[in-house]
Amino acid sequence: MDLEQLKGRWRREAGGEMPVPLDAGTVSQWIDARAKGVNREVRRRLQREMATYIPMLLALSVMMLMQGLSMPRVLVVAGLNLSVGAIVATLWYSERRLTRLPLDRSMHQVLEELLVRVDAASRAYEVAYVGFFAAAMVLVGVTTWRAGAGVWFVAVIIAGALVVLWARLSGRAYVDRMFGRYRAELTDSLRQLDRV
Amino acid sequence: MDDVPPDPVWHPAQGFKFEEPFLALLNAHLGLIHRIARTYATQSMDRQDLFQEMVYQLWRSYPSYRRESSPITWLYRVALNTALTAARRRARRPRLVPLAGTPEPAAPPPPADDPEAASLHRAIGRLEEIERALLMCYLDDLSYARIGEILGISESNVGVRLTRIKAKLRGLVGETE
Repeated sequence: MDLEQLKGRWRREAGGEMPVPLDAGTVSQWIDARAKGVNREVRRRLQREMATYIPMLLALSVMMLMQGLSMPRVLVVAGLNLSVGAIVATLWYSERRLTRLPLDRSMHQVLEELLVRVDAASRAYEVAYVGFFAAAMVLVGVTTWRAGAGVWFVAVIIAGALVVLWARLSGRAYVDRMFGRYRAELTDSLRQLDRV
Repeated sequence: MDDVPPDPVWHPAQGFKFEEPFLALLNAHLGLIHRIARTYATQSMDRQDLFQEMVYQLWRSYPSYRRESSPITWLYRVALNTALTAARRRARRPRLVPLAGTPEPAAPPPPADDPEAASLHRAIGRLEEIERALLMCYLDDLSYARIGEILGISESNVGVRLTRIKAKLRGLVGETE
């Protein structure tokens, strides 16, 4: 079939379409549902992330405070809680940037920008994950060292290094599961656009 | 700073701020939005999902709609970009469950009763998604310059790509018949 014939056929078909006009009530109902859906999606994602951080945060806080209440300990626990707050804020911002990408630009610009945002979100997730475990291990190390730099301290250092290594590997795998396919498809679309 | 336009907010007391002009624009180009949804989503549920997502994204982009730019270019950009990105986003999240009482779009049915048209639509569906976008713009009689503006590629590139798509489509129509 020739492209001109195809165009004629397409236009006849398009001309025959008589979509029912939308009314304001229907459209606002959809928009309302979508907007809520997007916010719910971001919230659920963050809740899932929190399920990783909160138990560890609680365990560390209890461990610190069980050694007795002192101003430095309280400050460390407060700092740890604040760092989790910062992680939540960073992840929330990354997710919002993904869902609020302006789509009124050319396809090339949108795909490029989306790739940049996906990469930034991946990095944020990975850094938050590895950073949290590393900070927690440093805290455990300092606490053990203050109790006496013996065999236990060496064991904690080795265990800490292994935990950070594990966090790095599992964090990368997690981010790959979450963004890998998405990123590969976007890259493929961009490649399709750039192909001359 | 992020250059994301602010989300227009639905307020029960104030109503839908852009109701009249936005709704008029939407209804004037409803057929086009349906065609894009049909080209990018094959299942009925997916089509409805994509259609609603396009309406939502058009509404979100509406404040940044520049009067000097052609409404067609703007509409194509938002709808095609939504089709391309929404399908991917769906893979990252669980499917949306239709809300009780949410009306479904009255989409025209795909041409199942016309074997030639059905074969043509199947062939278009087998093109790469960027090729599909390019072909749709061409079939809707947009100029090469405007297609280039929508996709972000040069006019000469549009011409070259269309020649290739033509050859590819001929083969695909033959296969699907």
